[in-house]
Amino acid sequence: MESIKILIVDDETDASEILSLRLRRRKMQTFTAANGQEALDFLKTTPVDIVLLDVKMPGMDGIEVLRHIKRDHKDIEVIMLSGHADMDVATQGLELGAFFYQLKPIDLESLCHKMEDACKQRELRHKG
Amino acid sequence: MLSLLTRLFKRSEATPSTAEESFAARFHRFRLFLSAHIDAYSEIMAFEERLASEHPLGLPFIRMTLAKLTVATMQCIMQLNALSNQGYTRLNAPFAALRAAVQDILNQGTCPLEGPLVLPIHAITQEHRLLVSPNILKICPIRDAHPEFVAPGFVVTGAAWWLYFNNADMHEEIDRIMLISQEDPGSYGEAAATIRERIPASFPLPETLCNEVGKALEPLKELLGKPDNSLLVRCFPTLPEHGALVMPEQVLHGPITDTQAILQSLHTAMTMAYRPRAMIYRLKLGIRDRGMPFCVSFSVIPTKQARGSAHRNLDPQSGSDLVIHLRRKVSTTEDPPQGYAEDARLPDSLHESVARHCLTALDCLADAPIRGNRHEVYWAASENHDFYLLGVTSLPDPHPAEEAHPAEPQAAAHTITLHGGKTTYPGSVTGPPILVRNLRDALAFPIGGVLVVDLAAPRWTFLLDFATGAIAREGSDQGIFARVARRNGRPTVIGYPGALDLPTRGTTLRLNAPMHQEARATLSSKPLPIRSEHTARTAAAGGTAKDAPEPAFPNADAPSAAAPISGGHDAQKAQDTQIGHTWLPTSTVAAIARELAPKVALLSFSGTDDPNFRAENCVSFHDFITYSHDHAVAEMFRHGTSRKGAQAPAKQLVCDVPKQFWIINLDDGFYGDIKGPTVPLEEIASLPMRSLWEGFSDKPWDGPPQINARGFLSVLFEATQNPNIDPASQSTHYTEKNVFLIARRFCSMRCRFGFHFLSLDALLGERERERFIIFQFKGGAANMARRVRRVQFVAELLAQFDMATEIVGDTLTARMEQGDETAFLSVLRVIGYLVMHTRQLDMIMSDEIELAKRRTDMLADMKRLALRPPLVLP
Repeated sequence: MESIKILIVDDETDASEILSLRLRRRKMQTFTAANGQEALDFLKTTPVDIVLLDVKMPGMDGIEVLRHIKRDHKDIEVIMLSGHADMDVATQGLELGAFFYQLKPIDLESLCHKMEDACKQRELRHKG
Repeated sequence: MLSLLTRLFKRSEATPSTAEESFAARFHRFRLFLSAHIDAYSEIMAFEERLASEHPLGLPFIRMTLAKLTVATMQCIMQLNALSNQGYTRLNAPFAALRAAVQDILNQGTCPLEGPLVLPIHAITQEHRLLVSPNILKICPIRDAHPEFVAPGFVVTGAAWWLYFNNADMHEEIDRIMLISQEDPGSYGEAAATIRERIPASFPLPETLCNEVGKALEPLKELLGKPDNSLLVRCFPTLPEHGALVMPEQVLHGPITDTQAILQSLHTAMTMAYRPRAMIYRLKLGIRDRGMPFCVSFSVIPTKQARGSAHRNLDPQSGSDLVIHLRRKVSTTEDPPQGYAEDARLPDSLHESVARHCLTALDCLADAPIRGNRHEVYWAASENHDFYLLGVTSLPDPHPAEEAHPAEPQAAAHTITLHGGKTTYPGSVTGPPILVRNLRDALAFPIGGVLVVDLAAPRWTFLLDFATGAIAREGSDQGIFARVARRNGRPTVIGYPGALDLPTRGTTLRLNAPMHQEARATLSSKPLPIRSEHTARTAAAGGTAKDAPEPAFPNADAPSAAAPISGGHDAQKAQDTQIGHTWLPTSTVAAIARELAPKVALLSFSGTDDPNFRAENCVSFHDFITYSHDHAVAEMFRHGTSRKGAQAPAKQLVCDVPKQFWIINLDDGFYGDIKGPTVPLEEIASLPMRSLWEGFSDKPWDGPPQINARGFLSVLFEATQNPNIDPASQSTHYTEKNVFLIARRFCSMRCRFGFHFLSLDALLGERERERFIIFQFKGGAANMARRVRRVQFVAELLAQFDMATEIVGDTLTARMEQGDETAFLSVLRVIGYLVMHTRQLDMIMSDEIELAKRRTDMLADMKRLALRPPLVLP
């Protein structure tokens, strides 16, 4: 877990900075992007293991970004983060290949467990 | 030590083969399935617990739970499909149908309003009921007779409120903020402030509304341009049943030439729906945000004015026809606060003028002096006797006031005189005295309580909808709180210095507040009418389709409390069935929760043997996770035992229990690479399996109990009737092998012992949240009645070790979730013992003496095992 690279995509930069700081304290390598396009541009040059993706963003929303990531970077696991308890969006996200849909406020312990599971899945997929 | 080193060496030496990696990948998927299964089950439990609790339910909580449950259930289905090569896609359609049905229910309970967005005061008629507050609407008859009494102005209607607030994005944002506040009343103030800041910043007023307001302002321009006029902006709920909620008013001082300032005040007024008091009020009424429409009234009044209200005198001994409550002396709103105008009086001539105008206005309403059609009018008056009517409320008929103090109701009771308190509204009421200091107290205030507050402040008026009466340490009988007490007909005493010292725990208070004597309070230790938590929980627990679920809330059939308590004695009767609740059990949100409860928690199948246990028959989240769990486990066993999946074939366990067991290692369940068809117990590295085994092998089985003649006949008869114990049947539980799927911290067992079938799944991961044991016990050779008695016997024993048990038919399901690993290991030993020692007990289920002996002996053994130090494996 310590060596994993995480991209946090959230238009609320304060929130993403705080999350980034908390994950860095756990020795994870984090990057942030303030919108979907910035995230997709970043992924073109920098491979990451996991994307933590906010659902509600101006411009390209999280679902659209997820669609692009799953098309162009099949290997990256995406965990959707949302403050919106919307069953349909959650379902759509999972159908499009999100590893998990995490409602805010985020319980860091639980999020780390999900990231650990996502990494393990990725690792096993590689071996298979 | 040598053995340990050998094991460790073997482990490090073993390099996993491709086949094992495939197993590891499958096991990881299965573990993800189990994690989602636990998440889903936890959400179902949380929903049931919340329904059974007395804590008001908000839509944000319901939506959050349903979203989490949807995610977890969908993950169960997806992982099941991944484990089975997409073998269960037939679950998708019924799951989509369930989501659609749930969404339909979640969309209920709004109050859409259509009509004019803005109405000049002179254009309002009775047709605008629902769009305009009754306070304003009741002015119409007075306005028709005396147009000069009505302050010039207009009302932004409930239709405008709906136009603005019926915005999905806005409510997503509001829900998001509420979710972050975790529905904690302690953080309501902060959440409310954030919402009131975000709404105007992110959601501008609709352009059509701004244009309509602009048009309504045109005829007022001249008046508003004068420096001695002000614009009074007030926000009211439009439905009469929400009238106990009082919002702060805004005053814009003249000259006002900037339309933007007025629109700004409208925007602020609109967001008052998100004042903490309004939010708590809606929670207690059980209505959603869009179920409480508001209107905003704009009235031009003189900047320097007196304000107050008036109603006919209830007191025949008074000698005066009218009571005038003076809220503010002649002053401007910019003057320093006056405090409560207890001793204030209007100048005589102005007093007479106001009284005359008020009586004239009341005459227009055909106001009756004592009974029937009573009203209170709100007025403003200038120094030069200009009189403006600002609103009218109906008053209930007075309670039959007890002018003389009655005898004390109980010998144990004691009565105190509320020296210094002033009766604001007379009458006698009884209820538990409840001190409200903050929003948390307000949320927990029970229907039928006597409200005790430090200050009779406007922020607590909404509680008068739920209280039988009120006692305040401070305040004024001229103020807003007193006005709402009169409107709601709540006997109220204001200004009793000892209010906060009244005992509020475990007592009942009878408040006797006569008009012309000091009020008295009789306190007794009569039990409070608080509902039994256990009863409520049982009612909410649901059950199977066969034993139809109880409504999640008691009193679901109670009379509608849309008009909670307010409005006199008839409404009081409706309240009687709701006493003790902290929110209305008949409310819209309660109805939504009740409608959702079976879709969340009901299990439609009596068991996995139920012929209806099919994907297309899953109609609740509980159905889906039960079905998925059963089939995911079956897929794992199938994969482990089938030829195709036998890359890591099942190995026979070499042990001292005289029974054949087959072991499938999912990941790291063996110490190293075991060659050959068998595996010794010592090579098993699975902590849950080895702990279970401690119970298996603790004490040899005594053999079958002595069967009496009736027990034997029951076995014979059942053997001819029950296909599950027919050895010729190929597809029964009982013809399957006894198999363990194991990993270091996981164990899944499917076993047949005698004629009963057992299953156990246990995960003891490092994550405390994900630890669980699910144990199922079913079947037997005796008849149904004896089999049921046996599972009851086993359930009673397991319950002593903190397992939650549920019996459906002859199937017992016992669960333990989230907790300390040592406790899990204890329970596994206990279950292992039970598995061994309950064999053929169904034969003696009608022999009470033998049964009691067995119970005592077994319990002693189980307690001893439970206390044994936990197994430590290398």
